[in-house]
Amino acid sequence: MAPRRHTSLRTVPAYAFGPSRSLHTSSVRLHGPIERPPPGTGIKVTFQDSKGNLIKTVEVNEGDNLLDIAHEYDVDLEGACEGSVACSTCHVILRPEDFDRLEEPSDDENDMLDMAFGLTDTSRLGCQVKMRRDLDGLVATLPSATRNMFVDGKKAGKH
Amino acid sequence: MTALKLAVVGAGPSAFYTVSRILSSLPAASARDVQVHMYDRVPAPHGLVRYGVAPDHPEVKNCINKFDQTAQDPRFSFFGNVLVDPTSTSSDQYPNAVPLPLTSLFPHYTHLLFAQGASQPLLLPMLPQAVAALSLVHWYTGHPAAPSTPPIPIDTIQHLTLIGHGNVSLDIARLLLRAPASLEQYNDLPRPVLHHLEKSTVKHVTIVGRRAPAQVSFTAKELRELMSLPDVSFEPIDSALLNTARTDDRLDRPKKRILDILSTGSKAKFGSTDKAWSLRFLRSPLEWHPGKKQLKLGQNSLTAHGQAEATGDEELFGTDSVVVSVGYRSEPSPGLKAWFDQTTGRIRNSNGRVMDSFGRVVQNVYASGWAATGARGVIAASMHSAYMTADNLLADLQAPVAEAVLSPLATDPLCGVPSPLHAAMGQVAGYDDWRTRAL
Repeated sequence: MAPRRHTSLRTVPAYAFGPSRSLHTSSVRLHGPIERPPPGTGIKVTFQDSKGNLIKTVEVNEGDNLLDIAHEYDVDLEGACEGSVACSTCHVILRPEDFDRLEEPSDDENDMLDMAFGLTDTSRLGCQVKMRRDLDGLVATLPSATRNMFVDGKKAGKH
Repeated sequence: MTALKLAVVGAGPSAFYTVSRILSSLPAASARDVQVHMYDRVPAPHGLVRYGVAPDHPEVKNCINKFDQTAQDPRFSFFGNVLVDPTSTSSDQYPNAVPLPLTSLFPHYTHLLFAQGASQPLLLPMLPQAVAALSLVHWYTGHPAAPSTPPIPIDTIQHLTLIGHGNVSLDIARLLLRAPASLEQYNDLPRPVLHHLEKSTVKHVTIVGRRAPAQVSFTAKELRELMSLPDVSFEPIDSALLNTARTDDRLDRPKKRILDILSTGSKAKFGSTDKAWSLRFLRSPLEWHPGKKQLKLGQNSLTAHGQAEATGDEELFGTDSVVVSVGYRSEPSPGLKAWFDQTTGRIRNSNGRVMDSFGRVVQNVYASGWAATGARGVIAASMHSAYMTADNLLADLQAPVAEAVLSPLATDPLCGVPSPLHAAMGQVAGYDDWRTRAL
């Protein structure tokens, strides 16, 4: 093993501070591989947060899955394995009426859902939910973002 | 309010997920305001995604695409083959890495993130001659510190015993039992490893655990995969043992589904295949003499709280080789002393904020992933830990934690990298160097 020279070293920008700076916090995302339908013609999908607050309602084409849809419309749904049913990061919770209209999840999908945080009886992997006309109006709830609060030596507290 | 120059120890999933969250949350901040330097003691990035995930699970490694995006950020730099906070053990293990004392980082950074995972395998003192599963994992993933030949003589042994009911045991069993021809498609499996597996004489793998079927740590996916191999069969489990496990009313859905898979067994009928595997429950290893090819096991019963309790009964079990896979802890390197919890084997923290031995948060020092939570959970769990740590770091930039212990790091950090690296830059690997030549 002979590691190679660090080529980018000389280009590491010199670090310099100005006076106290304010760092603006927001989020940027890349867009997914699907196309948006012309407004008014698509199937409607609503994303909401774990408390039931509306994130957004978007229009999509038949066959698009919820993970790709979330990425196309900047909804904060992770897809670590990129839709290959090898992780649980695109877990969404559906309403019973939407869940029942879908085919049963496969064993492979259930195996991954077993590792999802906040698993419910109507949980699915977003990458496995493909939109159809009869699912128009589907509501997907993102699981709670605050998970396993973790404090060594004492119970979780506020800081 | 201060700007951010962050040093990250480790370049695995918890490191990258934390950094990606931080950088994407500060899109307007320029490289003058925000810089991240990520260090790893091996030359190539991605940690356990590269050197832990089994080579026949390439889809799990797709998260690397996201890490690559993060690495493109002009505010990000990777320094591979740098051993931060060396110990005598790690210096021996990584002789080619550039040693960098932790304290040398302090004047150069405003913030520090520990994301080095849990690299020390737990050993069983009663089995000094057993092999650590980590050495097998390093071998089949092509880790730079691994030997070129398998750490157990797979070309002569017939029966292997693995201690520990976790996914690492199932990965090892699967790679040793599945047909080598079925592994050829996986580019991440080093070809010399494949050639050794083609010569393997292992016919049966027994995986021993101290507790019962409802207490296993492995997950349904890995279990189902092993049950589905076409030419490998599973020795049926005593139905009384499974029935007892099912009576536990605290079982959650994942555990119930695992019990179902165990009960259904393998697609191939036991005895009909050349290769097979078994699970043994409620057994703890007591003694292993490689020369005698005999493993002494102590029997356990399960307490009401699901803990193993020795019954005093013992049995001898014939096997050719014993590999131990009972968990990991983080390495207690000297610079970590004030922040390391020897009992749990991880860095003391509160939701990713590192704490001293009095439980006080240390300003601007953070931990994420297995270094913070202990070695459990899949990549998704490390991702959640990483996002929590990142969100807390970002929140602390706006409003520091009250009553925190003063940070050992700089508020007005020096430029560039710590001076011990300057003379050794020829040895330091950049982010893409592993792609262009063998490291």
